[in-house]
Amino acid sequence: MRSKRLILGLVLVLMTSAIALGGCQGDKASASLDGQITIGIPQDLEDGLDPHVVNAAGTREILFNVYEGLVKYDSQGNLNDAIAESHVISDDGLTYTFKIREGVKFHDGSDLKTSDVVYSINRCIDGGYVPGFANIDSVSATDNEVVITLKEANVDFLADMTTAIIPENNTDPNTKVIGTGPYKFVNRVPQESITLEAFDQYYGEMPHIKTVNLKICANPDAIVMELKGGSIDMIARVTSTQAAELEGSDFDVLEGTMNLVQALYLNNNVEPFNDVRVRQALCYAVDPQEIMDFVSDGKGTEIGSSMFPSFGKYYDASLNDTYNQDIEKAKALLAEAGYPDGFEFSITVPSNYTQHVDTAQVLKEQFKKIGVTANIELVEWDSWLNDVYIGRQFESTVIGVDASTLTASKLLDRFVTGRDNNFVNFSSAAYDEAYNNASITTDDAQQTAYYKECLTILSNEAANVYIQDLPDFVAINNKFGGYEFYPLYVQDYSKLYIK
Amino acid sequence: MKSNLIYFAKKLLVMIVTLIAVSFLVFLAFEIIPGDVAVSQLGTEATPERVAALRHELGLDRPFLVRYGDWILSYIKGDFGTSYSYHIPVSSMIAQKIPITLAMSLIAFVITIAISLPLGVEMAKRVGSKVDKCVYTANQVVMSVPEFFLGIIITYVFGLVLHWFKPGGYVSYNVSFGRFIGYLIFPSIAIAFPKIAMTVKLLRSSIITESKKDYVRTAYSRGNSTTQVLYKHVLRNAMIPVVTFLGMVFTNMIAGSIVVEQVFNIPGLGRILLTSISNRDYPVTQAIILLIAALVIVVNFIVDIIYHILDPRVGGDK
Repeated sequence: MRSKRLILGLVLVLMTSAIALGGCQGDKASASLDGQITIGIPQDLEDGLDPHVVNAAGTREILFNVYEGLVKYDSQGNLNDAIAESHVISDDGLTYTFKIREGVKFHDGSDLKTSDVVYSINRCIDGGYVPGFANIDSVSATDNEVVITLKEANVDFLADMTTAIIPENNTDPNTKVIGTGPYKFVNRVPQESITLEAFDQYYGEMPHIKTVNLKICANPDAIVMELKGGSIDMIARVTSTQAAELEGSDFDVLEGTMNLVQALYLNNNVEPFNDVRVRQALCYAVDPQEIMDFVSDGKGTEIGSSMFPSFGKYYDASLNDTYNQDIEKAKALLAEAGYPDGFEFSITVPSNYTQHVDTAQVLKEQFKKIGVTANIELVEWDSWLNDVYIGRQFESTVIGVDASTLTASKLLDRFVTGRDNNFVNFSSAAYDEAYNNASITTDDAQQTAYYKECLTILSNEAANVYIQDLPDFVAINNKFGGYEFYPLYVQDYSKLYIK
Repeated sequence: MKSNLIYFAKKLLVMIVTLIAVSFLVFLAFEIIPGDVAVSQLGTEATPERVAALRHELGLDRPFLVRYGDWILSYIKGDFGTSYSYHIPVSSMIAQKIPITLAMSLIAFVITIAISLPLGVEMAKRVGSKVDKCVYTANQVVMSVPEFFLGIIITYVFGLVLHWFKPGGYVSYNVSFGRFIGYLIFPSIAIAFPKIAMTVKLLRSSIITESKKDYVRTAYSRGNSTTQVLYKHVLRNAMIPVVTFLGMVFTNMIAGSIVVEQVFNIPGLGRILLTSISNRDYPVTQAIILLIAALVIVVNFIVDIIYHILDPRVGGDK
């Protein structure tokens, strides 16, 4: 059942991509594999290059071009076979059989073998790098097939198979970067640049630009100057102000979404946020549109629960109306909860994220209207991770939460009672039950219904004050084309071409 | 001669003690400030177990003094450790970056000396003239402009309006040494400008103070011309405070380049220092801070020696 749906999905994808390819063949055929592009990135790959260990979104989005898993996401959010040529999932959802594509080469020229696949999966199990792999019972391989059996059926498992496959004999993946992706790693100079080059033995569709130089642009205030001065050709995630400054220049500004759940996350364990009425009162006090107007000129998409719109399957726009701004209602709820004169609390915000800081400022003003005083506390990113995320020593924080794979569970498992990543200490028996039901069912429609129930509970319980999915602006010199937004935090350089 | 040796030995001892004290403070600082490399590396995937495992792997779960002792010992052996972020030896990482920051500071220093010394002497010669007043006022203004702001103005005017250089177009010295130096000239000017103003002011007033002393009158009475008195007698004495100041200026330039590197997007020591602090990449941070501290101390030592040569009475027998 499950595999049929996937195959149908695959056929559809292949058809649409064939049409899309046919459409722009004329454009791209002229561009042979040459040329180069210099792309600005806001920070160096500071957590290393080992694809199994790195966590920073900024690192993963670049390694997407270098490493591949058995399956890989496309820009529509579909999971396609990559190193695997095809895969079959048994009816009970426990056995995954991947047929490995023939002729896949590593960047060092060696052939990919099934033993490399087994090695990579085992390495992640042993290191605890992929939480979903704890569910693997056994991994075995023949000459051209890898069979994975699970302890429990889990429809989200396939998404974890995007995990990079690395050669078995590479003992130091942190400095020796050997993958199978469309671009191979050439070299790096710390805090200066990273060079990637098209891999000429890539099995899939070849990239169009030979050399991709990634240049670290640490000073966000200098980005417009660097673009206009010609030292970078493209950069992702410019602010709306920078986008406005680029109007009328040689740069196209493309608009997408960041695929984040931006919210005022409330520590559900501390007073007064342990009272659902207080949380609801805050939700009634907030007008997300006003925040979007201030933070990004009205761009952005309102959200009402822990799900962003590009996740069309689960996103429920009606949840945006659970709490429309209603000052009187908010005050009444506060009075009912025993805070007729309001209260004071702090919003801890990592200072390196301008959008979140700006958001906190608007929130502060909006809470004033219901007699609640919010004090903004700016902290370094590192302190935020330590005190807020891990230590849970906070009252509230503005942050955006993303999903590393396109599975609802990546966004929703953090609200299950007692989870390690449940940094807001949300706890609801109804939620735990709905989530558990979603993860054990093998029926897709049923699972979707359970996940939607989870989202409704989060909204009704006012787990957090949900705000928006932030807009994402990409500035690219109009000499280049082919940029594609993904519903995930990745940058795909292989689609770029010189016009 | 013997007293000279004792003087240098004393200075050398002070230098070593200072270095050890600095190293301890640097190590202590990261013990006190919040943040943890394990957390930083694991990001939002951090769980208490994974943090503990990584801390153990990096040896951070050992007592403070043990780690400090280990660290000092490996430094004595010439091992600066391995970067947590880049997994390459700190020494090779810093070695790549020193030429950038050093070149920039040297260019700035040369510009400072080449402009400020003649200008300072000239101003002192024309005390009270219109030119002196104009330069004096301009000096006060330039002195109060921070380097980074000057950097922004230079980028705007020379980079975006006049197109004399490409903002952010830094070229590595491995690629082209000429273009590397070419790109560093404008940032160097940004660093040098406020220092030029300060040096001119100091030299001017130092010369004026010296020229009022008795020996100057004597020199004139022996029939020397103004120029002769100025260059043979006054300048030599007037230079003493200026040399000290220039020594400070040079170390200050290296520290100041950290900020200017950000403005001009130059991936030098400063950039590495800032990012390694925010990533809690201790081995890199500690090595760079120690390096800068050592540089300040060594430069001061050299200044002391030059001082000694200019005026043998300094730190003499007493």
